[in-house]
Amino acid sequence: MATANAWVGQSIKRKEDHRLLVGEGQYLPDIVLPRMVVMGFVRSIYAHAKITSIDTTQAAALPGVRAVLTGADVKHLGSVLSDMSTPNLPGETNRPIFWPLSIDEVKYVGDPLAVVVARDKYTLEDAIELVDVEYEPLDIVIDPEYALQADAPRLYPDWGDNVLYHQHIPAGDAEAAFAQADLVIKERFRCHRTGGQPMETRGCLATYNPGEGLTLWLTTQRPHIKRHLLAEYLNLPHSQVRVIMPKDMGGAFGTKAPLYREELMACHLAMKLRRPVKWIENRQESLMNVGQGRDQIHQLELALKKDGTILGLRDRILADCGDARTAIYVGFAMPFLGAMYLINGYDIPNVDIDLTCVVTNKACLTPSRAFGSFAGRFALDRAVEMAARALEIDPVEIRLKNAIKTFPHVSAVGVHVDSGDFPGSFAKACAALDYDNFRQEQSEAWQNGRYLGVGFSMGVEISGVPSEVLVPMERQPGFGVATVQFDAHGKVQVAEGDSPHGQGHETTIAQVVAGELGLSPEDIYVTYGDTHSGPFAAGTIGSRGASYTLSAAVLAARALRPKMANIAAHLLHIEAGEDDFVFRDGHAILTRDESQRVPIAKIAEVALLSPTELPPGMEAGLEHTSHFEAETAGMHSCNVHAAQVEVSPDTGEYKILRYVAVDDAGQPINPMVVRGQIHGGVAMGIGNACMEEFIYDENGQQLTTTLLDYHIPSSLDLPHIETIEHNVPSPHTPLGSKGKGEGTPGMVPAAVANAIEDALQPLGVKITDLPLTPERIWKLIQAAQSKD
Amino acid sequence: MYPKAIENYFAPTDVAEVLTLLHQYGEQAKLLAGGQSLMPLMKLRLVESQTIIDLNQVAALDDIREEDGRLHIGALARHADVATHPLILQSYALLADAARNIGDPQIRNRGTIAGSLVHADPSADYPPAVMALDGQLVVAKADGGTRTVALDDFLAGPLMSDIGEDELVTRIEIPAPAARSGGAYAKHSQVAGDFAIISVAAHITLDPSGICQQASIVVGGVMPKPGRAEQAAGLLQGKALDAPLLTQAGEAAAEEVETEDDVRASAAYRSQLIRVTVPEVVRQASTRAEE
Ligand SMILES: Cc1cc2nc3c(=O)[nH]c(=O)nc-3n(C[C@H](O)[C@H](O)[C@H](O)COP(=O)(O)OP(=O)(O)OC[C@H]3O[C@@H](n4cnc5c(N)ncnc54)[C@H](O)[C@@H]3O)c2cc1C
Repeated sequence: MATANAWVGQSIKRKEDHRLLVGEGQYLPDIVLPRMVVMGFVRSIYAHAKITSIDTTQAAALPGVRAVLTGADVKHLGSVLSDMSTPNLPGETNRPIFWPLSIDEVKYVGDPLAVVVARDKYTLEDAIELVDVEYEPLDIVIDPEYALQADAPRLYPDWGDNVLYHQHIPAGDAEAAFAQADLVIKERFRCHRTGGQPMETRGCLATYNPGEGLTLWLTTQRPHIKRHLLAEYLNLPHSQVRVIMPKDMGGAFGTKAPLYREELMACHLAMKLRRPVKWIENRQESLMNVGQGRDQIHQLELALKKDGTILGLRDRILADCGDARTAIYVGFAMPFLGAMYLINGYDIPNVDIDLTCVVTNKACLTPSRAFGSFAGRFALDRAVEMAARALEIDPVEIRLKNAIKTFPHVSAVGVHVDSGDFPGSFAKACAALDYDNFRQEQSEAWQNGRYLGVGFSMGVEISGVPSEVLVPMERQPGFGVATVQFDAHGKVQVAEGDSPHGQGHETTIAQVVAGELGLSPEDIYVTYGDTHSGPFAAGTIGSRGASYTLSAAVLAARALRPKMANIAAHLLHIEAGEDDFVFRDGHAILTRDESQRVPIAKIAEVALLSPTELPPGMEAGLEHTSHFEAETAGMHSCNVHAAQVEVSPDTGEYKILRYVAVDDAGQPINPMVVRGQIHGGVAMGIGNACMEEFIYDENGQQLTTTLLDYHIPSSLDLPHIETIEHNVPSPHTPLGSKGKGEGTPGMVPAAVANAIEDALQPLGVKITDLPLTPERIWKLIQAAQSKD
Repeated sequence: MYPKAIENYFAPTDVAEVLTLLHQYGEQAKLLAGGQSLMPLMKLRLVESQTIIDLNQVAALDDIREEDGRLHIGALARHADVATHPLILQSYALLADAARNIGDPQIRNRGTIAGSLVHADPSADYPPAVMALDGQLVVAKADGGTRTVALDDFLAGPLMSDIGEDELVTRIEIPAPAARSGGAYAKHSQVAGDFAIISVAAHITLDPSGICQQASIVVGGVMPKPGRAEQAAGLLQGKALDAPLLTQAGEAAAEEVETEDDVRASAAYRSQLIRVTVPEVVRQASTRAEE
């Protein structure tokens, strides 16, 4: 009999935290193998140059150096990108040809062009310094608008231009919408290059023997996907490739989803040298190569009626994808999804979106939480704010007028949104801020020379990506998968297909499985990350934990109950089936006579240790694997965030006085874990929107390759984040749960920018560009004042 | 991010031993204090040093006390100690302000005052504060001599200071302020614990009627080293520190202190921060002077 899941909604402490807090986590650098050597790269110091010579003799002669390879030594491996590792999207795509090491030409500062293997990391760095590279600098292209010009230097001469990907996304009749408009807002919005910078950098450890094949420990969000791409690239049978994400990983935020050139190199070297090869990226390399996301220009137009109804939208999006040399995403999957999600929580029937992705002499864009949509969500929520001001409509009212009202909803461009409640979320945000009285407070403050403002943003965030979307886009399944398996002592192992690294799966999956089986979370242990011991799935991406993977665990647990009931009935010598039992307090309990009960541990023991006691003919064992696929083309979480700020007109410095996040987790499994996801997401959003920026100078030198220059906020820089639940259970998951956290940073830039602009209304400032540094705000104030 | 091989490592326990080692190893040696500037530079291989002389075992190099009308701060006094020392909090609050602004708790627990001053980062927190207090460094030489040098003269430029390869800073000395003196320090940075875009240190002395008798204002975050806003300070001399005067001083400081563009901020924005911050810091200094 189905009962409410007793552990759902409980903020129990995370099972992961003890080992992490006492310093007993097991990270990639903790793995040490006999005969292990370390690998490091010689990287380009030019943004674009011909390599005229590489002299490796001195490096190779250094005692302790095991190998030095250049591009010429890996050319036979072939180009990295295959059909399987390139996004398969509608529109025109150019595919770069490249190798794990660059051959003849380098295309950005940090481009790997030679690799050194040594017995220890000190020798390694000495040897890297001894590799003598001569370059002949080439003209560079750093600015994406310049990249489009006919006379711009080309990154890939065989392409004919610098366009990596182009797509036109029309829906409805935008032209007619604009012809009818009472007001057109037309603005150029610029979102800078910023993204994720996990505490733990990338790394891997590869080992090979002809018997077992290749084993790769890798900091990755998607071991199974990497496995099949590695098998393909290295020309190994799938049975000879094993990928393991170490038990713990210090964050990823999207940056550990692509397949990178460096990990291919480690595998090749392990096979060639027949020694375990370890690579740990240093912080400078990390800042040079990963976490660079966003970087879009939007020429956005909104057509509105006087009453604030949005009739249509046009957007010309230009995305700067850098050199486009990573596999799986190739720099343009993010802007593509961003374009598809541009209209987001707004119901806009007529759109005309044109996306152009260009290559430049910068590092390739990598995924970062709020995959592809950070820039677009800033642009649209800013444009809506501008429209509200022009039409003298309250910013909340204009949003409610245009927000998705009925669910399920299919957006003009085909995004399915299952459930949500924007009016309810706005009501909670406004109540928390005492918005009704705020305008009064604000005008009094203005009279006293103080500048207070409130800004809102609203968003529809991915709650997992279904196969229907993921298969065509990335040639990967979207299902969630979990195997729920009793051991002989009545404890339960759940092997999941994802590879969590901070999302709390060990706790939340334990909670739901415990609830479904009448056990306690302590009885459940969750394993993940090893392609040879867990079921195949796409990995930890797109907030699919609580939507897809956890649902698979629920279904697998439920699937065990008939067999458990049959064993219990047999042991009680009665005729009964699943519907006659409840599973509670570690027992299968007969509902019509609760004194009749069998410990679940006994059922497991019979199924595994003493199968002679099983009902005649019953197969031993107690386990089930479920693949969960939601019966919809998209599940989402609908959220409203609001910021209240005070701005100093003299310096442009501002303080976020309040940050209110009203979030929809469907049915939170562990509300504390949900809050943690939101806190982290907002913190990342504030860092990205306000402080962090990857800066390249006119020579393509990246000026932000240490954390001294790339400014990630600490707790001292962040406001108290007020989290408020407004949950609308998903109709498509067994518990109503939704994924949470991936999209959260995308809520931030518009909320904060809208608040700053609101505060500065008397000064007439208009914000179109990120990041929101005090200096930028000050300059806007100066410009506005000099206009008066 | 691993340093070049280090051939020799010494951990002497007294000053004489340090000086002997300095004499012996000369230019190939580096003194290691808190390591909060030296170690990053070595890991980035911007500094390569075959010999490390670790100062952390040297006795009595970290005491803080008043003597002969001067504050003595041992070279090895950690930022955290300066930030919380009762004597400093009471009479040299400006210095505690600066120390508290440095980096994060780990850095403040390791980093030392002499290390910071020798490192001579123009955006560091101590230099403007110590300059505003007319601080001097006492330097011991390998030949047994000592010299005393004003911080103004000691700071030579970005990451350059007047320290010989056979010299050791043993302490910082600051003249005890006259009665009715007060100081304050503030910095603007992009994130907490970061180096300054602009910082301002001010130290003033008032007479019993509230007239400013003496003022010094120093601006950090400018090149090649922190700059004294002498005209701004001059404006305050002999006057009551009312709001219009402070605004004027801010204008004067913004005018006289030269600023430059870099990744953190433009020259114009820096000048604006000086204009706005000088009045605030002087106001806080005068409040403290009256306490
Ligand atoms: C992440 C980070 C953030 C930081 N943020 C700030 C900040 O916000 N503000 C700020 O001001 N600073 C900041 N710092 C720098 C910090 O203050 C350093 O501690 C200080 O600059 C150097 O002091 P130290 O004792 O660590 O010196 P070390 O690093 O040990 O040495 C620095 C130099 O001084 C020399 N030296 C040291 N002691 C003596 C001596 N007694 N006599 C002669 N030479 C000596 C050394 O040989 C070396 O050349 C930061 C550092 C880090 C790593």
